Amino acid sequence: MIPNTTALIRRIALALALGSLAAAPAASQEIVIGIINPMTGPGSDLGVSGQQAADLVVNEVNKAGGVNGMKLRVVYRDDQSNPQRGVAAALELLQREKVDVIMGANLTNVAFAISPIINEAKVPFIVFGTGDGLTDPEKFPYSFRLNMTNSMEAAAIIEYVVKTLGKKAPGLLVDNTALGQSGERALRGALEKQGIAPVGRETFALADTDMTGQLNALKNAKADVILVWGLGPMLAHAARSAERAGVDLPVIGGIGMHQEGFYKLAGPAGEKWSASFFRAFTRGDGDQGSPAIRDFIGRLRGAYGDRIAASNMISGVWDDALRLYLHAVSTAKSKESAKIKAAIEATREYKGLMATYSFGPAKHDGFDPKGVTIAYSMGAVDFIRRRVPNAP
Amino acid sequence: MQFLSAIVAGLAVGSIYALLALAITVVFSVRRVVNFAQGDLVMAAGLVGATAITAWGLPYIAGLILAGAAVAALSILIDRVAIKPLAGDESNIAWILSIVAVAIILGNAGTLIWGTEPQTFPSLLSSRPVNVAGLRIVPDHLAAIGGAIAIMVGFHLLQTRTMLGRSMRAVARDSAMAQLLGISVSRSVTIALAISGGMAAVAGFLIGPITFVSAGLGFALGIKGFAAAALGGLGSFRGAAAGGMILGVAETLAVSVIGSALKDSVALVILCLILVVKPTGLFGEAPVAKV
Repeated sequence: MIPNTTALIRRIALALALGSLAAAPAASQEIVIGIINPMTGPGSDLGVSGQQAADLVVNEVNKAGGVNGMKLRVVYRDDQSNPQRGVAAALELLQREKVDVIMGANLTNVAFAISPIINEAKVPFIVFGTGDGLTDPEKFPYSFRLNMTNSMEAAAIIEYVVKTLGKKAPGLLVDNTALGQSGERALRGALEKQGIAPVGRETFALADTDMTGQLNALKNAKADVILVWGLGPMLAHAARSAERAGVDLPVIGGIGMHQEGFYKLAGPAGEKWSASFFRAFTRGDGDQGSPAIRDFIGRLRGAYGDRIAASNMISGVWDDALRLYLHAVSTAKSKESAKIKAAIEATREYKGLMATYSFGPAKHDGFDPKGVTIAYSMGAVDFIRRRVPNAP
Repeated sequence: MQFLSAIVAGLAVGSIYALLALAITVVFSVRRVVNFAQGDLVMAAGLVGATAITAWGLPYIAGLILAGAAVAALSILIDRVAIKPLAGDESNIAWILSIVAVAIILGNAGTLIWGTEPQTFPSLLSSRPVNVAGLRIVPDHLAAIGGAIAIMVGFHLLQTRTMLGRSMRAVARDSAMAQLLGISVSRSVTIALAISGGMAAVAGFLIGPITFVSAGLGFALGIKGFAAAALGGLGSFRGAAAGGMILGVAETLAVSVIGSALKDSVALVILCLILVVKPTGLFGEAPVAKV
């Protein structure tokens, strides 16, 4: 017998409705965390480090029963260190995966590309890019950051250069991409506060391997210190060029100098170069560093063995970011965006692995600037860097 | 002294450009196409060499032979797949697309196998500068200059003193006539391609200790090699050598004159100028119009 068409449509509609009702509670019983990070491309070391830390936290929390009875599920997307890929990943996580929170975008250019989309969707975004302006509460009300910022780095660098080294004539050597521009802005801002202007400014491209010309130009401009900003491998070329050119001025830079690409490639030429870094991941001459960090590195090594990512300092920030978000879910007793936003804004003096974090309605950068210091990239013992003498 | 040290550094980089330009010229002489993928062959040789020497622990010379053989074979393969089927017809410029496609494929394959991070390359002599009469000289720079000159002199002798070289020149000048004279054109072409691959391998081994090697190295190098070949005069072996050296020194000195922001434009500005002012390059010969 051929069923009545109207009855058939009714049955299908009823089945779909029941199906969606059945699916709805299941969806609310988990917290879906979308992670967008560079798993390939120039920033891949940061992406891999982030994934190692995130997987560790998620497994641990799920084993303990989840948060407020909800299990965690992570959806990873690779932005390929490319803003366009990042935008596609953000749209997919928001529209298809219906994530409760997005974390990542370790590269500033990717972070700037995806921030408007995520905030438009009113989904909490824990951003890892270090560029200033990414956590402007007016522009990006749902964005929060636990990572240190370019301004915090620049403030520590200039304090060290001016107060500890007593230098007054800095020369800038920065890469010619958005990363270098962001760092240069931060350095100039911090210098301006000290009433100092750079005596020279040179740039390098990502493909530059010989920077002797730039370094000689800065030396000829009578620079007494060189401030650098760029990715690790490029800075390794700069260090080798400085050695070739006989430019032996002190060189201080941004955190890019702590990438594996610097300390593996620069060789002895980079031994005296130092850069801003997480205080938690450093040690003085006579100590071994913080027991909490050594324990954290031990846990990563236990889980990943020799595959432990070299940029595991960022793993520490990931550990803090995930735990702080889950703390917000727990205190808000909800994963609803507006309640999470309010809970994070109400967070004060949250003690994490890398720093103590405090937020507010007008303060979406939680990292304590005191958590930044200056350390050598080379000569680390089990990833813990040695602070420069009289470091800030 | 700073100026003279910069000249030596420029000559070292220029030597690499010169080798690359020479390899491009060798392919051009037998196929009448510009192999834009030559820079990617240098990249491939450098990465194979770095892996063979650093990861597998092979002796330096064994690494060079392995990389040389691999890149020579690759050079012949590229010709068979992407150049030979399209070369010969001057009205057909599809070879440009096919060679650029090969360059992109090689770059992507390099990224897939070795990632994007630069790989360390063992130093030939030493990467640390020494003071010679007030000049800061990096021994690896001298090795690059010496190595490139040795290859150029060797190639010149091969061309002028051996039957093989004379056959290659005959094929380059007029392949139909060479064939009538009993010269195996396909054998000469294959040997020329293998030689261009070998030159790329040596360039990879000379540049490795100076700049490290990475999958992204090829494209920029290919452009510089082409600029050097065009500057010297496409098709002229002497011109390729001179063009490379001039370009290397000009690039290095440009930073102190015009600043670092425009450094990468130097090669392209020189290329544009030479194409406008003297399209045949410094040593190139204007084609003879037959009436």
